[in-house]
Amino acid sequence: MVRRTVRIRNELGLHARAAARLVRLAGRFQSEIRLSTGPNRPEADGKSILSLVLLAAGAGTDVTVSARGEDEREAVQALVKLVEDRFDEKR
Amino acid sequence: MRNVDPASLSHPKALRGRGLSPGKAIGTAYRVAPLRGGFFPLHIRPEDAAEELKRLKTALGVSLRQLHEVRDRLESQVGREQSCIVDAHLLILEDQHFLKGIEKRILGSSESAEQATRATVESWLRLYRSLQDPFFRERGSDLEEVAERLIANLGRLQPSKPQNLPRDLVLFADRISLLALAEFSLDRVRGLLLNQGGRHSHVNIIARSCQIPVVAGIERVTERVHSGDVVLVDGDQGLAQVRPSLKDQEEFSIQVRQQRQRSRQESDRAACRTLDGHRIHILANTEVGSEVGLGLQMGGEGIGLFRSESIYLENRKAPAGEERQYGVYRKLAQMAGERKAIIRTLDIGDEDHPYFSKLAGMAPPVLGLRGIRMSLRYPEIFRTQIRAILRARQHGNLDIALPMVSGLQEVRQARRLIEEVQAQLGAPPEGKPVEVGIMLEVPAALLILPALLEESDFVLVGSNDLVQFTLAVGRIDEEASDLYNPLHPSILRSLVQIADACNQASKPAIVCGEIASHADFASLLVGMGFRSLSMSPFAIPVIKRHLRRLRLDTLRKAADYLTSLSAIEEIETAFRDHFDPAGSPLRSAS
Repeated sequence: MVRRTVRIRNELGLHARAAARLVRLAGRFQSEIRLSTGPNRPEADGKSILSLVLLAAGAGTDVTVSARGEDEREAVQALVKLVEDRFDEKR
Repeated sequence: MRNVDPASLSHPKALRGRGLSPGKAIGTAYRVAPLRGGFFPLHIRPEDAAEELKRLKTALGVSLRQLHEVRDRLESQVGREQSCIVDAHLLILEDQHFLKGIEKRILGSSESAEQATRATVESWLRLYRSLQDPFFRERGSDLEEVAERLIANLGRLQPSKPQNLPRDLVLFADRISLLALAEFSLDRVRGLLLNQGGRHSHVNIIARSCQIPVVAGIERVTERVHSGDVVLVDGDQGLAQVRPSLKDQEEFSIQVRQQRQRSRQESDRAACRTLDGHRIHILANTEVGSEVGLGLQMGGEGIGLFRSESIYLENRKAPAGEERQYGVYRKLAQMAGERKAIIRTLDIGDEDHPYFSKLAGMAPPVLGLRGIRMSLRYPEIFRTQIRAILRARQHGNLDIALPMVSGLQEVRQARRLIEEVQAQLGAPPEGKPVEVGIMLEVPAALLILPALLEESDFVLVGSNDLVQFTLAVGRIDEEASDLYNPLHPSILRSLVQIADACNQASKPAIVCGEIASHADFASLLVGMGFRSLSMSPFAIPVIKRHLRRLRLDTLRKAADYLTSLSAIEEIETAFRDHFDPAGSPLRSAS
């Protein structure tokens, strides 16, 4: 399993449109992908938009992205990049 | 998902509310879905689950296609940045957690696709509502929007087959609309438990008229009652008991049975009024003495037609003597008491009677020397009958109807004979003098009706003969049975003419032909303006119950429309559309 933590930096956080991008990207990988905002917080399925938005991860939240599967490394790398790039949003 | 305290499923629970519609009932609770997105059954039969999954899949496909179109349209208008928001909606429809939740409910709990969708959405929304951040809390609305589209698309598909409903339903809901109630067959609905509900709501008016007890004002009713619970409903006290003990259940069901019996008798005997309050008099047609008691017991307000032939037919060699007749009429008068009882004087028509056939010179005289014509030709026979009737009037209210009248002279002669007999007998008994009316069954009488009405106290419409004579076809002629049709435009117009003429002259008109015994035709007659119907005793409760559910203004409009038509095929279609009792009784109440 590969795991990395990244801080949400776009203004709106992991809202619907950002989550949609994340789900689309996650869907390209075979691996099982999970996101969590802390050790005692609920985990979200990276391929389920409903569970992702439910993380209520606003700007400044640290999110741990983990993947398990054949392409786990590539998956985490791509997803972390998406978050760092502010989901291609301007602010 | 929702946690149901297992203990709450076994313990009896008392619910308090307001009784809106009186009565007691016992039944199985069944939740009525609110009408957002149309009505749909909550549950399906387990064996239909696969078919239900197919419905879900189809509706998902349609919804996805629609959303793709929306996204493309948006993209071409405002650009990719904004159209991405629709992507979130699309992804909800592809969200495996969401879809699995729906499928699990269809397969595991036999829920309909609509209900499974709604329940799954609800459980997700509960999670969203618990979020602290208002921005993310708001995101639940995306899900609601998508679910509404999905349910709407499901609604456009073939509806799912509902589960087999229990026979005795106690419907419960926060509130129920008339349309939702109308989805159920009302003779299965035993009671209603509601949170919101008004005394003057359509639903309550219908419930009262169908004697369905209603308890409203039960808070959180949908949480405290579960589909499948046994429920005792007490609309008198405004109480309900959920999952009662076996002992309570038994005691209550005895009360329900007693009350049902009582109310059935009472309602059968009670006056018949249309839903908008117009009084319709329902009387009984009888032939022999024993039927009189039955007619009154079944709720007849009197005897609209007492056929006197059977007394004559007892003895095939000679007409019945005065004493024999007096005995029968006295019994009739005693039973009727204050109520109206109309004796039709001798009319040997279809029946074969050697003595009278010999007099008439043919057998049997469907046309020609029948009814009042025969009576006036052989006045002694008539006088004997009149004497017996007038003597029996000491014991109750008896009136006389003259059959087969076709001319004014017949009424005048008959009246003179009646007066002569009365004079011989001495002063009439206290109370009102005997009323003499005519049977309207010969078309000739219809054409001179205003003149006849001046000499008559009332009109009895003998529609059976009126149809045969107007259409020139025998009622029992098998070869031409399709020609005997009371819906023929000439008959409908004749009936309207009779009702109008009688109403104008303020003379009562009673329809006593077979048509009055049929729920559909009876309501048509009421729409035409008739306020008194006389029928076979067994039809009385049926007709009363039927007419109580209808509104006069609706019937009047439908009757006007029917009588405006001239083609029998059009009339038959319109008759089925407007008067068929198999149609929902709610239609005319809304």
